[in-house]
Amino acid sequence: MDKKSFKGYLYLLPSIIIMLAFTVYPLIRAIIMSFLGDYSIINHGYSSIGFENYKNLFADPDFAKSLKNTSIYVICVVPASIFLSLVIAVLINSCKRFKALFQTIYFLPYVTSVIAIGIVWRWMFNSNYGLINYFLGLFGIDPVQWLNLPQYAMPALIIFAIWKSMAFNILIFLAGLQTIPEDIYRAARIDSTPRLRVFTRITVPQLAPMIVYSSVIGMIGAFKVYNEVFSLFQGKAGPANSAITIVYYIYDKFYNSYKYGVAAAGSVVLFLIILALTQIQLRVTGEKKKK
Amino acid sequence: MDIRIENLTKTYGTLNAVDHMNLTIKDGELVGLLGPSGCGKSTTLFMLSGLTTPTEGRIYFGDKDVTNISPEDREIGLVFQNYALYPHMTVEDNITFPLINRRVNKAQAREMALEMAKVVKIDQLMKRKPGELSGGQQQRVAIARALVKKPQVLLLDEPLSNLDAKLRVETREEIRRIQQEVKITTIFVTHDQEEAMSISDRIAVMKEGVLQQYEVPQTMYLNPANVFVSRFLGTPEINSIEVDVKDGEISANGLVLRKGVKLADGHYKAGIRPESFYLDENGVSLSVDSIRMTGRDLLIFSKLGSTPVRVLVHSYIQVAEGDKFGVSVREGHILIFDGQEKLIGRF
Amino acid sequence: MTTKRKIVNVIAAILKYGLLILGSVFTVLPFIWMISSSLKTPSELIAVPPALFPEVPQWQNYKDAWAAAPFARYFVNTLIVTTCTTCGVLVTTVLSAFAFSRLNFPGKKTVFSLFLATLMIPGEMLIITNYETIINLKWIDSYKAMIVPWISSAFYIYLLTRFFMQVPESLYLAAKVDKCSDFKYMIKIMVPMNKQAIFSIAILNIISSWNAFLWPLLVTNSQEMRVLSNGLVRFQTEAGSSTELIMAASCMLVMPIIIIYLFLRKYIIEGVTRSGLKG
Repeated sequence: MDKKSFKGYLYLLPSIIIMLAFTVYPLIRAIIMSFLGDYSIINHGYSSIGFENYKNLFADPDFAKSLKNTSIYVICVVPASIFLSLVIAVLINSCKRFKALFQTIYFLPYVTSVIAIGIVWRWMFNSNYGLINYFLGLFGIDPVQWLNLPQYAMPALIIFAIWKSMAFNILIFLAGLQTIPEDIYRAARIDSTPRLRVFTRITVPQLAPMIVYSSVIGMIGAFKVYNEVFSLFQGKAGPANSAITIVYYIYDKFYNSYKYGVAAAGSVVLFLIILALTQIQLRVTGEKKKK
Repeated sequence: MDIRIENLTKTYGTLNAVDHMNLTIKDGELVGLLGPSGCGKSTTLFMLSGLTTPTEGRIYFGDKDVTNISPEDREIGLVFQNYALYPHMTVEDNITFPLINRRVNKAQAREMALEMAKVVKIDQLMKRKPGELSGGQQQRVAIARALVKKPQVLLLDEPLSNLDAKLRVETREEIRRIQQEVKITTIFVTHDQEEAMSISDRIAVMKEGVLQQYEVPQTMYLNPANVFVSRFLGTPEINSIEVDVKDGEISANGLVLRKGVKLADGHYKAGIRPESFYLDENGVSLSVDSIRMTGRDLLIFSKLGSTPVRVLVHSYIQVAEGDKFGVSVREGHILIFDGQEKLIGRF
Repeated sequence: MTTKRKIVNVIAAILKYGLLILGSVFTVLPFIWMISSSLKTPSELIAVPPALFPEVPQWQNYKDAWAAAPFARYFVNTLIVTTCTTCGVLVTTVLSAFAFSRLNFPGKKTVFSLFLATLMIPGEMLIITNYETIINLKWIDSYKAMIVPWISSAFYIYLLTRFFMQVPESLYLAAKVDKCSDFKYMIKIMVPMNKQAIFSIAILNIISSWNAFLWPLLVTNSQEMRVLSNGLVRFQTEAGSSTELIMAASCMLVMPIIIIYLFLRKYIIEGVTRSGLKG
């Protein structure tokens, strides 16, 4: 029985075929495509081999804008979402009653279609009849042209994204909190530790691995944002492309402008960003394991 | 500081975890709360700490009623069964933590921590993290953390249960030493009777939430209040025998164990410790069913009539299965219990 | 001292529950607003101040929305794609996880690492070339195109492998002694023993398939092949300002998953937590 046989591959065959055809091959193909000038996926013709696509990509102000927007998005959404989720998770965890109810409610956005709920947010952001402007009105704030003015497009997108991304973080933090032994909190109580100090000196350090994990996962997800943009701005990237993101840029080049090579080059850039983030994550989780 | 417990009761649903307990602990004493698991000993400890609120009854520290005072204001030190050290902090940070919470300035806190660390002999380990320490060292850190704030009472929940056998004996002596050195009223919970007897000034034995007996270890061993206490203390376990008393003669299954006692005629429950027998050719004749060598002692399994008994003799005595031998019971070592299993007397 | 602490505790509890309720309202508001808007009349929709609930629920909105676009067809398509994808995922995942956890074959570690490595590739990057592949295969506008690329997931394989690894090796050896074949062992022992994990994977996959948007949009052209999420976006453009109908259509996409979620919450949360704490 210890002898090795190739039978294992029989079991793996379906997965391997699918992976090769729809993950490995397209990855290599996309990298190759990014070096082919004026590539066409219809007749597979191209005009040149080289860095032309990359040159075009980095010369394109839209791409620069998409990089900038995506970075703003990441910098705003991830820390805000992590912080709010941490607070909510700690509060839920300290509840004696309604714990399950709160957990159920806060996780709801995770299972929901971004497209459908994005349409609802679009309606809530409506400058004339939207709920959000109504609430702001109660505080004497004039209606904001959330979806029509370039300067408000990113804030609207960020609010929507924080709402959507908190669910996962809260769940992870709650699970993490449950692994902290109850006795440590009792000991802290006996030691007369003030509430805030329990949070900063015990809860947060104990949750540190999960906070790092959630941050990296959140950053990876945030760099790939697309559906949120599509649904909030009805298929566009906000007024005057004000909320264009990397993935939106890639798809736009590919699907609407038929610039396959440029799109492929953009996706290679995205790949490198994600790869770097994943390395950070592996480094961090690897260190945790060593301990 | 004296501790007084009055009618202390904790009810979970319909279960009385602790049932109208009364107990007074003298200042500076080391008291062992002993009993099988689920007897309410930990619940009692947690009520003393304030982490559990009693359903009924009162707790006094000295003259002060602390029943409704929260744990952080009770001036207690508590050592948890799993130590509950803060895993991400160094030993020093763990020990200074309670001081800094009380707004002691950092330099002074460090000094106090070092002083306490010297008492528990971990001053070499101040910069380590709990994960890098052995179980025994973690235990010492936990004790130092509990004592550093100079509490009035030290509470320990099963302090030795996470240690291996050899370390356990060593550590329990350490706990005794530290307690004597700091002179602090200490209560610890254990299910190990030997542990309780070896270091406690007094032992409180509990069963199903009810305090059975509260005594000095030796007195309790010799005068157990009832059958439960007699069986819970001592290994090998006490022999439980049904005896008849007629005309001042105590006999078991027709074999006379003692003559000339002043006891009403009737049927009784009796307890005889295995080591209470001594070899006596004029005594009751028994035969060896099997033997078990434990090192210092030899345990003989035999029958007193139809009742199985264990007899403990010195290990240099040569016996084999099937051999006959005569035994008597030392004066005052036959414990006689009444129908409620309460001790009537020793004969 | 004690009464002061009690007051502090009460204030803390009020603050805590207050914050949690506030957060809950923020979280569920879009859902409430979606349902309430879907039942309003056009004039109620633009009323100031907006009413939380319509005076008379306009159930007619759902009928109108359902009739305005072939939602029945979209629904069936989504159901077909979700079911097939999930079945496919379960088969490939169980087979692969079993191979990685119990079978011994040359290059096992390397292959497993390669599987794991694919997790680093952003799916967004693959869509361009996969689209090209679908065109080359002439699969455009077919169920195949929406299903086949998604019937294997390195992530679920990794997850289930870890569950399978927890089953004691001795069980496998015992079964071998009893002359149980590998395949039979997998079906009779491994699958039933890990049915909860497999069930969690199934539900997670149902949710992601149901909510899938971009890929089905790319590979379908005709209305007959459209799935709900694409149909909804199309309907949003066509219905223009009939917000109540758009909200009703959104409800139709969101509600089935929410109902599944409310009933199978335990498995979903367990599945996401397990996958989240993999580090």
